[in-house]
Amino acid sequence: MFNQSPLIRWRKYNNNYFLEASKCQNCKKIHFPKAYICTCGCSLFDKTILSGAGKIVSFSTVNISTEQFVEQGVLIIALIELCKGVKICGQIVESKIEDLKIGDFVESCFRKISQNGDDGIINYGIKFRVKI
Amino acid sequence: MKIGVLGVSCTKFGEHWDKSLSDLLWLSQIEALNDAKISPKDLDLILVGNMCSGIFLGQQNLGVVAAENLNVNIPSFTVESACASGGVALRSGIISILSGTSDLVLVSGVEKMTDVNISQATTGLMFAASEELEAFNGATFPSLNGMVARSYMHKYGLTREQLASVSVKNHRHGALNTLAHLRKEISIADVLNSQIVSDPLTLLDCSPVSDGAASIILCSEKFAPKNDKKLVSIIGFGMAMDSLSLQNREDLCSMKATKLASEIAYKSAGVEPKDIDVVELHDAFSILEIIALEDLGFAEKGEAGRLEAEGKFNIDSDGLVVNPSGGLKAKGHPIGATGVSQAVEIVKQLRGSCDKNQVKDANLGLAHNMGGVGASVTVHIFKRED
Repeated sequence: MFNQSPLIRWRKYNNNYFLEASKCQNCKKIHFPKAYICTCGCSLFDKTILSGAGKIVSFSTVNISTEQFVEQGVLIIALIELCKGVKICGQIVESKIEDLKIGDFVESCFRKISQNGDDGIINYGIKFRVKI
Repeated sequence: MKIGVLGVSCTKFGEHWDKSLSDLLWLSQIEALNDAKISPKDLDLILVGNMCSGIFLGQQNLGVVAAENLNVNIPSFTVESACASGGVALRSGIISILSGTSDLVLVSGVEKMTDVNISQATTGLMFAASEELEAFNGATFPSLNGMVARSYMHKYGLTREQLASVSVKNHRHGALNTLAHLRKEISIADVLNSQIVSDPLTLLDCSPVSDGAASIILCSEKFAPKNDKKLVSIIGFGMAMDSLSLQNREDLCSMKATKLASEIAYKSAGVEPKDIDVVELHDAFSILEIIALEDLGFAEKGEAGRLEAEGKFNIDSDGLVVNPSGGLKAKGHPIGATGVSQAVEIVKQLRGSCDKNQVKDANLGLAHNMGGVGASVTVHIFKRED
């Protein structure tokens, strides 16, 4: 695959670093990441920042990785519900798969996600850990 | 509406180390033309379902490859919708005939996957999901389906053994199909004890990485042979989409696109799920067969796992037979070829021209093809003319 321009990640910093979502001005529904049009048909939104706290909807493991993650070993991937109707896909860290349950409460943490080769840019973003 | 099927063909699926993408495509093209008893010069349009030739082989523009293979200059182009590329190519062929611009259309599907290693294949297949929201975070296709499986097991009490029975059945069918990639019967214990790919899914819950090609020749009503008792027609079709990422789904245990596409297909064909005798559905992962059976109307919600474990969909059952080819699980899953090969299998079943995996007295068949994890879905309904 191509070693793409850093801009491809830079333009998503607000999503990937700060969980910036959009809130429909009409029906108040929250979309993450930002939506172009709401299910109610409205296309006017206000910015809102999600807290990063949520609960596990489901989870699985990545035992055979895509190329960028091969050196990281087995990953735990989960769908987290951040607030009603708003979910995010991310890794769970600091837990073993056998200790996780659907419904567990988690919080976000800022982590390195991947690296584009030895001299490429390092991608950062949000992962999740079980709330103690 | 009625679209006639003049010819079908499918290469053996598997590891074709001595054959290129173009070789596989040509083999299926020429066999379908022979089956239809027509020459390339008779065709009005060629469509090619393919997803990964660019990333895996550095070659796109397969429409030109397909036309050059047959030494014709007619319109020919690729149709891409991830794993549903073949199904959408078939749909596009039907629409071209219904529009009145074509009378004879060759629809092929092809994928050459074994020229890359498993990490490269995993990376390429993940292009079908959301790059920004899923692939960026390290998710893979099996892990997305692993989350679907865990969610379904949690909500409906599906047991690991019931889930494994899907793969056991499909391998049993695949063992009977000379074109299948994996022709070996397996047990529940084999599935449970195989290597974990994405917990709770093991290697034997997942379809293999395969090479292969399939072709089907469609014709308008005026070109359909009259009084041919074995002529199979396409009498209904539907397509629907859902969100690219799983996070934007309300329910992980049902695929809205399958429900919508099948409702449209049943309505256009004027049939109901209970009328169908044989179905080829998109079992890229065992859990997807369970969910598709329910969304297509063949089982009540939460019941498909129990019915699978009881052998209700086996080739020797009295009722509906599911994936007599072995499905994606055992027949193989060369992405772009899969949707076309499902249609080919249904046509052969309705003609009564299958070998050991022939379903008895099949008159009405359905093919269900899915791209992404339920993101793009096609459903086609086939009928034998008699």
